[in-house]
Amino acid sequence: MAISKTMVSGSMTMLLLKLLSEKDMYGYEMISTLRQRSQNVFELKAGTLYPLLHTMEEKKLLQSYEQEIQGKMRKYYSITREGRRMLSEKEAEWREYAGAVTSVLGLEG
Amino acid sequence: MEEYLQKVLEQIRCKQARKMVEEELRGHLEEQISDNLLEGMDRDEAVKRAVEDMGSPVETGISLDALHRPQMCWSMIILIGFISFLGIVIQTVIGKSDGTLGNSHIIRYIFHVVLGFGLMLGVYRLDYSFLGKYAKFLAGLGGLFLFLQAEFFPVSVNGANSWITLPGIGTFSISSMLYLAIPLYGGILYQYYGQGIRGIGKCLLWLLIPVYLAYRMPHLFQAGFLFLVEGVLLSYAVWKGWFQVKRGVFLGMFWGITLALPAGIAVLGVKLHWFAPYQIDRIQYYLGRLGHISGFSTEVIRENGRYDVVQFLSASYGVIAAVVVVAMVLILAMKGLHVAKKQKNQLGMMIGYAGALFFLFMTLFHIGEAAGFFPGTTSFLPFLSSGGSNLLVSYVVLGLLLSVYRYQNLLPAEQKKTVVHKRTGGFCKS
Repeated sequence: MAISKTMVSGSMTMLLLKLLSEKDMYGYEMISTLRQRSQNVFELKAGTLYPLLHTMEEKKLLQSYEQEIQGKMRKYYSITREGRRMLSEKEAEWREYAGAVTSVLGLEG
Repeated sequence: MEEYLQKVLEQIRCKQARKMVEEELRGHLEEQISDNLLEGMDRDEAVKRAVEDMGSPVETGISLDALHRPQMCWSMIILIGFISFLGIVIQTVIGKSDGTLGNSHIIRYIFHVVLGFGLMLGVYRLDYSFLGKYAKFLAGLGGLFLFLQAEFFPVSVNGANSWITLPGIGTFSISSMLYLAIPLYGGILYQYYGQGIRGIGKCLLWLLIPVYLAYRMPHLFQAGFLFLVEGVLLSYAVWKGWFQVKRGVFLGMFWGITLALPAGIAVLGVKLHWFAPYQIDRIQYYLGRLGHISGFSTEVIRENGRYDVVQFLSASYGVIAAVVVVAMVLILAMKGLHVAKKQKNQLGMMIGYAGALFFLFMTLFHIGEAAGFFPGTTSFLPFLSSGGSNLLVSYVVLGLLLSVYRYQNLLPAEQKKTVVHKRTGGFCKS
């Protein structure tokens, strides 16, 4: 089922930070991992991902470095301390929000 | 695929950002195409699907353009603008207070400030990363030029042969140009990144070249200053793991020898008359009063046709005036350190530190000299002292700092390098 763009974009920063909190990744790997773990709900386009990654890097939530893999240079991203702090905040916000929505909709938790 | 990339890149105005974005997007597309082929698509279909999955190239390009623009460090520009204006005011007051200097002193100073500001803006627009590729070449060429000029075509000014004549501009101090060795040395360190103990050996040789050139002029203060600042840069590079040696051992040896050697040379130089008589007199005089702080002068002193800015201000307007003016230059230096610290690009960081340390140490030495803590030297107060050559070099170094700031979001961090040493020994890490 296609999910509303507004609902997705608000949480994308948190999702990317979550992925990077587990290990350093490059852009394509993030899109693949996100797709797999969300059972194809999140089909993030590269044209959306890279501006978001660069924005997060400018805000010092991430840092990037280049590494040679099988003769090709790849740009990896890793989460910073500030990024981890932001992730904790956003996760707390999300739990509160999700709990409230669940409660209003009368869904079982 | 090329059409997609072109459409994205057309939206991005900054050249350095275009290169960086192209590499990243191309890499992404190639991986996507590769996966599509593994899924059984033919080449054309794989490329078409990969490009569709990227989204709108124009929207992507516009978003990236908004993010990747060269940055202007306005706070530093405003500060240097104010300091430059202050310098003109101070030198005008000095010029008016001494009738023998005349208006030509003021006009010459204003000319150097304007020229320096222009040079600074020119250097600011350069992509400083050229130092990462050509630092050794430039240092070698510059060193050779300065050596040949001083040895075979010296121009004597006030008894010193460390000048050259630039057609249409006038005489320029070779020793001032030697200060440009400091940011070049930052680039040289970067070029030897990851090369272990051999890299350090070569860096030490490059460190000694400008020191030797200064020593030959002879400008002992400058030789010591260059050694100190470049030594700090080398130490920082070692500390950050650029050469993968045992940091404590190397730094202990380097600074132990550095501190013991000048003391030894000074003592032997005096006893064995290696130095000129006036230098021996100075060493003996100042060793006798080393550490004695006389405080800023209460009288205006003219030396070698010039007035020291700090002494002039403290004598004419009180110590507070001198302190305020010096503090502005120190703030500029601290701002430079802050810019350097923020860099994720290692070359940018090292060039930034080189520039900032040049300003910081020169200002501190000059304060120490004005307060009587150090002997009379050729130190100057960056951007405020009257020497045109030193002024121009200061603006060029500041231009490099601004260039580092300008490109801070556009030049990526370097790949994490692993260095494999074929043999270990001494203080190399195993």
